[in-house]
Amino acid sequence: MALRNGGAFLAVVEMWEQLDRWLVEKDGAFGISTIRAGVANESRIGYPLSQTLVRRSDRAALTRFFSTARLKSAGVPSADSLLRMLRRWVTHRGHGLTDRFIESLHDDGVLPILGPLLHDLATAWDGKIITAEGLRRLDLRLALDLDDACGWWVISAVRDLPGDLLKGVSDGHPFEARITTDVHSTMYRTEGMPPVHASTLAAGLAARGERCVAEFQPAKVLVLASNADAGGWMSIDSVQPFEEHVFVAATDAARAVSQALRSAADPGWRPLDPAFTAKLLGSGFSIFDRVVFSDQERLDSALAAMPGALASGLRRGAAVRPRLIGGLPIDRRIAPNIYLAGGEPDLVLPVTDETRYVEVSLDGMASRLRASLFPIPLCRFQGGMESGEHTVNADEETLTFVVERGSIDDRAPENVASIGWVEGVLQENATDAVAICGAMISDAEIDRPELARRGSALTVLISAAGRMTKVSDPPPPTLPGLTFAFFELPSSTAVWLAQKRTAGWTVTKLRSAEPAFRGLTDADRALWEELYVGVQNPSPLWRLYGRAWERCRAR
Amino acid sequence: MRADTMLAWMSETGSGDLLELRQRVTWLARTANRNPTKTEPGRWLRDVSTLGHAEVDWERDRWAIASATAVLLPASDGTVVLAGRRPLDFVEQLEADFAVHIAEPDANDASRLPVPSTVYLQTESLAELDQALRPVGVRYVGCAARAIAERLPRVQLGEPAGQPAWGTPVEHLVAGGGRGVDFVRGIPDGDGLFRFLVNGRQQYRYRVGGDWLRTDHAPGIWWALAERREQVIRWRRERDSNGEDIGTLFIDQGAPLPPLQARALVLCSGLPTHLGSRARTAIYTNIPRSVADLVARSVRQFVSVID
Repeated sequence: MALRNGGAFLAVVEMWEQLDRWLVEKDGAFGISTIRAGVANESRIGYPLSQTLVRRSDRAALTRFFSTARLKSAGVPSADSLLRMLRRWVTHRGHGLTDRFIESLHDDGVLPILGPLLHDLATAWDGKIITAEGLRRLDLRLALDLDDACGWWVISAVRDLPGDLLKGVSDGHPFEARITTDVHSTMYRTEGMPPVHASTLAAGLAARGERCVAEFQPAKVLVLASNADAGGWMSIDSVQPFEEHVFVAATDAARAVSQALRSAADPGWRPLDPAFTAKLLGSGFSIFDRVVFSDQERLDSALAAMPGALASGLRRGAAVRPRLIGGLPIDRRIAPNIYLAGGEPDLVLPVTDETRYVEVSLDGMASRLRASLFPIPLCRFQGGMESGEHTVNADEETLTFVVERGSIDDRAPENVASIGWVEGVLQENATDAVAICGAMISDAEIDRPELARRGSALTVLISAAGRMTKVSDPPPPTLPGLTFAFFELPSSTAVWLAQKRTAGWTVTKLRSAEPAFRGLTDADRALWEELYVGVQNPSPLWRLYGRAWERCRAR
Repeated sequence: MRADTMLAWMSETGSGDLLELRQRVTWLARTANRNPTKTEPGRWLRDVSTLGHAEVDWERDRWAIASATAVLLPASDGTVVLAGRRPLDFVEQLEADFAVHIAEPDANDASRLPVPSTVYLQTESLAELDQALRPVGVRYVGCAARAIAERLPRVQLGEPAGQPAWGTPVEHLVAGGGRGVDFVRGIPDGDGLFRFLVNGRQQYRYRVGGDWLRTDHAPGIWWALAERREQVIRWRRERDSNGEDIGTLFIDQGAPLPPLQARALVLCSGLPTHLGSRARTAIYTNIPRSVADLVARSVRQFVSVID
């Protein structure tokens, strides 16, 4: 304390600050420093301490945490929020952080330094997951084809790493494998990867290249989901509600898994024949397929009843911060958080090994919700959501989204009717050709049959010759819930439709044709007499027909 | 599932890839406590396409919403049904000016995801309806069912293609004999329809002598039925309308009509294909005999008239 009061260590502080200024001047060309002035003022050893708290391997492991926390897409939260998320994340196995770093997460004396340091690292993160040696860290995943009883390894491709030559040892045998990007797939094309063995599933597998390391972390329970690019079932980080899974469980965990499935999974799951499993993976494993969880209560209870290590294996990749997923987004070119009314997104809350209740407020209305692997559908909000901006607060994070009843762009969207049938074949942008698109047929004649009111005492069609054709009401169609006040007239060359109703006669012009009366029957004449007296129609054409009848009657 | 909301989203989005659309359909179904099977979203898309709301190009994994249209139903006293683009609140806007009737899909039908509701408009003058709909962006297109039926391409087999690779699991079509239409494993001798998986997608080949000809699910089945002289289309007269017989059409389940054939039938009523569980049949109502004949001829069938 005496030394400190006397100004000891100040030279070192000055050196750290100079280094920081130089790094800033070089605009990050030599990296950034994580020293912070505020920390040094409180504790002179803050600068050097800040450089030793986070070791190289911790920095590498933190890149995986940063990826899980979606810092690039969702932004960097506050230091306190980052620390909370990180404490949650380290409850999952295989995080790769040193014990010392983990201890510091709970050390109140160090947190004032660690929090800002973590925030700086998060802000400066370039989006790449790396190893302690600075190599890109890739996930090596198990893929299975249960129809053909075969297994293989797959690696998800990352941008800016077109390929590498990987070396490793599997089951005591060295191997060399080449990975190259495949334009048709999200996975690397691999050549030379070792076969899938029970020993590698139990012990893990690493393949190291010049630019990357691909690692498979062993686990007592592996969760697999169907993946088209992998070409079969592929191991994933977390159980996905409602999705079909395959579980691969080590024999010593199989009983607990089976018990959990019995109480939590939808009916239909089954253990595969041990002989088949042995042929596929060797001894020491059990496989369960057709595993689906669609009941939140049952899954939560089953996870709570499972041994901690097993349960956390089923939710390793679960969210570490609240997020909005799903929904029916519109106007995505304008903003990513605009949703169609009725298609509001789901809220995902981070889960931990312990049952956790979270205060969630939607537009200021608070509820206490249990965090679960199951998302919370906001579209089931009672009464529907008003158009406009909405805010969700959970875990001290604020998520906003906008609800609209339609696009805020009042032009019709592009590509409406952009696919159509041309000569029986679907084509895109076939606007010039004779095409069928939906119910639109580009060269069709559009028919508009004339309609007459049902229930008239008499319905007649009158031709240009003055002839009358009586029409009866046909039986009504049978379409669900509809009543029919009109009926379609048969196609004819009639000029007039005349209907006798309680209020008298009405005539409707069907087409324009001058009268040319001839061949009238007695019945036609009787009706004309009635119409001539009874119809008051202002149409000049009707007056022409009236005069034609006068002439006809006079003959 | 609120299928009208899904149709509204498609109407706002315009077009897209099928993977995303299936995921959105699955998501929406789950918000209504319904976890669809893998095939249900695809079947929903087929229903929506059959109703004339959208075109679905399975080969290229693309979909596009169709233009908003008012479709005259045959022999239905001037009743029109809406097809194509239908944003939220669109029907409510129409209710101010037109006699609108909405037929909701059967929410209790566990066999399929609910399709968008059927919106009927009724009028005393189709010419006036045509004029009144134009300002709101709806085109009156007349009787699309007849127009499509008159333009149906006849099913045919494609060009020669490679036979399935040695060792590839292959299924062949069995039909008739009261067991409907089904695929079973194996390659028996003789001509017929075969299918096998390539990159997770079914490929169909029709074997004629030593040749393997490219085809697809629906045309392949109808070709096979015709070759075996299996008649699976039946029609029952219900009424007369201006000298034309109108009735109900039945097709043995498992014999799926190609999309345009199905659309020609569905646009006779505006209602999706009804699947009868007892007799394993697809049922289409309000079908003029002429439309039934045109559809049957396009798939190399004759209409069997039943009482």
